[in-house]
Amino acid sequence: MGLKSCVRDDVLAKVRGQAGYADDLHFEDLLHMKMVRSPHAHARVIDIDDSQARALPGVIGVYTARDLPIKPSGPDRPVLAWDTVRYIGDGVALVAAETELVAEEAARLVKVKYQVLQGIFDPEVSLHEEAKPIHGESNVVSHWRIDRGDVDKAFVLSDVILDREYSTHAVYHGHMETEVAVAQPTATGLTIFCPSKMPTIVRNAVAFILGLKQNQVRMIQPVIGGSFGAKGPDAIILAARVGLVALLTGRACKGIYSRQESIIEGTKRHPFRMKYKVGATRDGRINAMDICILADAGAYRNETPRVTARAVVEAAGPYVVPNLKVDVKGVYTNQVNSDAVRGFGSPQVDFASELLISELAEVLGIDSFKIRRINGFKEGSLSATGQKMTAVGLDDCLDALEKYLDNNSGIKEMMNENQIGKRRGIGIACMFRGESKGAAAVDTAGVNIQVQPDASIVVYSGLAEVGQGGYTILKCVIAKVLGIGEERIVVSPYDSCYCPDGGPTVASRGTVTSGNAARLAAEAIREKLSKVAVAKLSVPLESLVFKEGRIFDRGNPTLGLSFENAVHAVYEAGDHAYGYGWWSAPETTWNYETGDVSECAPYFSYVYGANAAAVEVDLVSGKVDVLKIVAAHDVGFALNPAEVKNQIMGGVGMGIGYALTEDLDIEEGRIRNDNYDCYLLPTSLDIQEVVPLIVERAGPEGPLGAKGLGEPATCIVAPAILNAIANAIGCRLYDLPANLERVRSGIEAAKELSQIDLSLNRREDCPDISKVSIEGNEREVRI
Amino acid sequence: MGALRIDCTINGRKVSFLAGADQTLLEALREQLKLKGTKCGCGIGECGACTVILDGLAVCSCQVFVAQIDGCAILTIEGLGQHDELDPLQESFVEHRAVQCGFCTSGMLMSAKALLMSRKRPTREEIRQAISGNLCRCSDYNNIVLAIEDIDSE
Amino acid sequence: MIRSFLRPVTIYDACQQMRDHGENAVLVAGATHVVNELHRGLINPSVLVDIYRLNGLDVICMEGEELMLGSLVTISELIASSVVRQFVPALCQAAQSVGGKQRRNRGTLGGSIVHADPGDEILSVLSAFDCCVVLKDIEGERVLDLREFISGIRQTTIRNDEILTEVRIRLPERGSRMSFRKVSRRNASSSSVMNLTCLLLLKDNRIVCARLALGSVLTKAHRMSDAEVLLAQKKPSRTLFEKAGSLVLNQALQEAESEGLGIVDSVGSYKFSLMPHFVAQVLTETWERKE
Repeated sequence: MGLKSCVRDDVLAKVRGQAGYADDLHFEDLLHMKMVRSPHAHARVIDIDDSQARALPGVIGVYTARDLPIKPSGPDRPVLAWDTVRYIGDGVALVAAETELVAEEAARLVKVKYQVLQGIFDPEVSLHEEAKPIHGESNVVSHWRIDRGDVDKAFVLSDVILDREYSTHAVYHGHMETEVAVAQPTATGLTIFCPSKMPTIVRNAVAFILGLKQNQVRMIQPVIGGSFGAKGPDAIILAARVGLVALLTGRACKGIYSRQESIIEGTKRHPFRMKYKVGATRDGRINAMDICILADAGAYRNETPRVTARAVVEAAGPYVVPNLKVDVKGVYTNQVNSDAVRGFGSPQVDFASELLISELAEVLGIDSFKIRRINGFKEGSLSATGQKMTAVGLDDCLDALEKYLDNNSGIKEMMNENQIGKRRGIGIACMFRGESKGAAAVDTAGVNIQVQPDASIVVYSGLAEVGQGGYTILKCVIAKVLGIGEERIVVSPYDSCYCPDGGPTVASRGTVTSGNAARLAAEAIREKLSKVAVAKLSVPLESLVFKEGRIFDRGNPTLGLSFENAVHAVYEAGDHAYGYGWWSAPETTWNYETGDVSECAPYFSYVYGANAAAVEVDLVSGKVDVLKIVAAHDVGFALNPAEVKNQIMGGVGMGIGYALTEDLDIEEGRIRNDNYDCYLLPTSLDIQEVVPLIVERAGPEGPLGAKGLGEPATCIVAPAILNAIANAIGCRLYDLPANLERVRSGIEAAKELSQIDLSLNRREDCPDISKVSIEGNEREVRI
Repeated sequence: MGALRIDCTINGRKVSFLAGADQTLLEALREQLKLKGTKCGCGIGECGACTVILDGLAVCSCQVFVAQIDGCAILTIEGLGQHDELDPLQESFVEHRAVQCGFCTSGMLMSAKALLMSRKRPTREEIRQAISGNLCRCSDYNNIVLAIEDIDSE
Repeated sequence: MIRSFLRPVTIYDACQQMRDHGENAVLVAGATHVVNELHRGLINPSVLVDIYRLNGLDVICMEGEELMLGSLVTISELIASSVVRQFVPALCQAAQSVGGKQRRNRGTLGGSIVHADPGDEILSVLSAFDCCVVLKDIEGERVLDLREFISGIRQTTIRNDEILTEVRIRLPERGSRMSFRKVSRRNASSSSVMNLTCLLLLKDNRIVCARLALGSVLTKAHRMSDAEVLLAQKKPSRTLFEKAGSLVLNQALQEAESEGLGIVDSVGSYKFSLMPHFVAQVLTETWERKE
């Protein structure tokens, strides 16, 4: 791949402890904001008595939704609840005071009278006719369907049918920096300091909520301590809260959430319940799939429509399924507050499809790689929505993975090193994922490049540097186009005064959208410099090469001028060396009218991946240790190979947590584990070796063929691990997380079937697993 | 709230300041001493973002009352390296790409520093143990482990 | 609201200050428990009495057949102590499994004992031994068996003006093997779902006597006497260990019922399903452990 990885310049400040995160910034005369939140999952707010709170010395004000200029309405989460709270943690009132301590105490003194309403804590209950809608007329937030071919007929013609139910759970983003925002009133409006994944959108939303024009709100992005899909609506709401205080009091106001507040109030990953039925012929070819998915949107709409849209496209996996039915519904409950989390629906459906196809492989006695190759997309295959797939990197990823596993005999030896009382296993999973927002969304980004008179460069972009190294991508692209070293380039921190809208830094779209915008901006500058070079060197345009800080004639490399001199010449001629790039994604189609998306082109490009997991299971406790993960990802073109590997490795870390230890213990809407002592992220002792493999099948749209990676990196770790557990213990699990309890139950079930004998090191004389049917998951096998 | 006078050494310099009786060391570092490099991640000593070195030992500063460190010596991230030169650990973190969002980095570096102060050439397992109380969401810890391993300590 | 933070110089001063301030005062050592309890509103003292740097409470030494551990010995110091490693290695194992390094550097032995968490790993090991604690107040001292000292979930019989100064462990006889194992959800900073300390005194390939202390199941770590009786004077075998496991399960179920702890959720049923196998596993491990 050859591109040397750019060094990130945010890293120096970070290792020195000098990076300016929002809580590190100093403001004079600051008010502090603390929240009053609902302890009930569903209730009407009858009365708010703030008299005691207001009486506390140091309290400046207590504010409710009635202090907002526009009454909150609609199914999205309000800044403060108007008259109904819909989940535990829903904001009801806020206190502004001179110190944090006083604000906290005052918040405790605010007395809210609630009329507790019946809560819905199960998405299936939510669908009942008698269930009261949590919003509007119906609890169905979104409903997407695919119906292609004739599944009933195809099932009849199948040799094997598997009927399975899977479930995934709510998890927390786990960003190390919690939510924080500071608002300062200014002569014209507000300045807001708020770490978020979508600064321009936050700015626009806050302006709307507070009755201001967009140009009256200035958003300045401090250094961000991680997002992983968070700091979207949560940031909007917090920024609006402190903004409200700033406007009403004329003083700057800061709000920061403790870890508990972040876990209780913040958004989470959608829990999914999935029913999959697959029919295949004995040669391994999938005939038909019938998939039914229920996504728990929780209390508010947030991104449920788009999460479920992605789910319907990807539910059947990267496989050609000629007869396919998919039905995905997002429904309201009072149990959770779901929204974007890294993966955005993909990890959930990938979990199901990859467990299913591995089980199918086992039943048919076909190798897990082979069955994926038999059914996997090839160049020109039709997807679940009838889209012709191009730049398909699936086989590339499977090949890279299989080659690694075969050539690195360490893996085979590792698998055979079973200790007494433990069992090792290996499992794989693969994926495809639509790039960027898709589904006919507006998908654009702008980048502004200003080459200064001394030829140093400042870049203005709407991209959020959440830790992923997004800024270095811009530098890499610009450096490549202009033929200069990236040390010449500085990316300005985001300030809405100067930076164009990059759209949200979501959907792993940063590289493609802002990267392309940077490319276009750089090309505009290149055009200007080319004109100067043509004039000065008297050579045709086509013969110019931009390389190593020079612009020279391809046929006669000594004939050229330096980048600096070219820039000087531009300025001397009275022109500027600025470039502006605005990139808009190619058209994608979706069907918002009827929700039938059987014939759509929902994404303009796709990425692919294949992961393998090697695990060791303790047969007594059910504890799973991940020995090794090998993760092959198609990134089109690796602009920054070192950061690509970082993304893959970090994504794997998050995936291991999703698979095994992270579990929000929610009972009737109450989250019982609200801090890092009981919400368990993986530690350095929980992750061993991770091998990232970079695969490059150039994407049609990315700058230099690059594709996005942030989310794919975490999507198929869990199914790879669960397939490995099944391989180890001879029993399949169908629910996340694969915690101690579930794995132990699996071990007990397998023991009953003589799959495991604790006295033996090897699984010997085991009965044919294809005859096994686990309670609740019926298997019909006709071979 | 009674104010106490605290006299201690921070990053090699003698300091004296007033603190509340129930203030934690983390709060005092960030508020009175304006040393913002040490971060608050959870407040209950589970994430390690607030790790500092207290009399040679890595501790979570959110779990120590500042009143208890009177007379003690504390090393924070600001005490690593000089203004014009990075500590070898910091350089190694940069070189090994062991920093992404950076929020865990201060605490991670302090745990690493404490390890290297007590042990030359720790094994990989010892390194993992030393940073097992420092959570990182961005990474899989492997680059961090490599960065610490790669220190040629005398 | 904390109004004052006292730093007594001697144990006597500390006891006096605790006597003077009564229920308004809370002792602080490593502070890893007190800080969190304060922030969560579980305690609301107006005075904190800091004993972390009192002299003489961090000694580890042998006195005859007893190992004496000062209450201010930190968890890291327990791990690093060659004396502890030599005579009570299970205590090192347990200590190593507590928290992250930061917590171990700061947390104290006394803090763990006084906090009396039912899952506390160090308490589990101590419960397997004849162990007593020394409590001092301004009048003098009293010595209490650990089992009397821990009275319930996070409850001890310590009086507010007493300071736990020392732990005394009667060392096991020569020929003893011991181990500590814990089931936890992740490999660091993870509380015990269940833990077990196993002590076997062996002679001529027979178990002379056994001690099993089960932690994180009942209100406090509990000696599983039925299984201990079974194991005494027996030749070790897989069948024996499995039987012992069953007895532990039965006794634990009975105890749980009498303590009013039912199997209320999936974690509970997991614990009891796992228990006999876990016990057998730890017994095997202890038996196979080289001295």
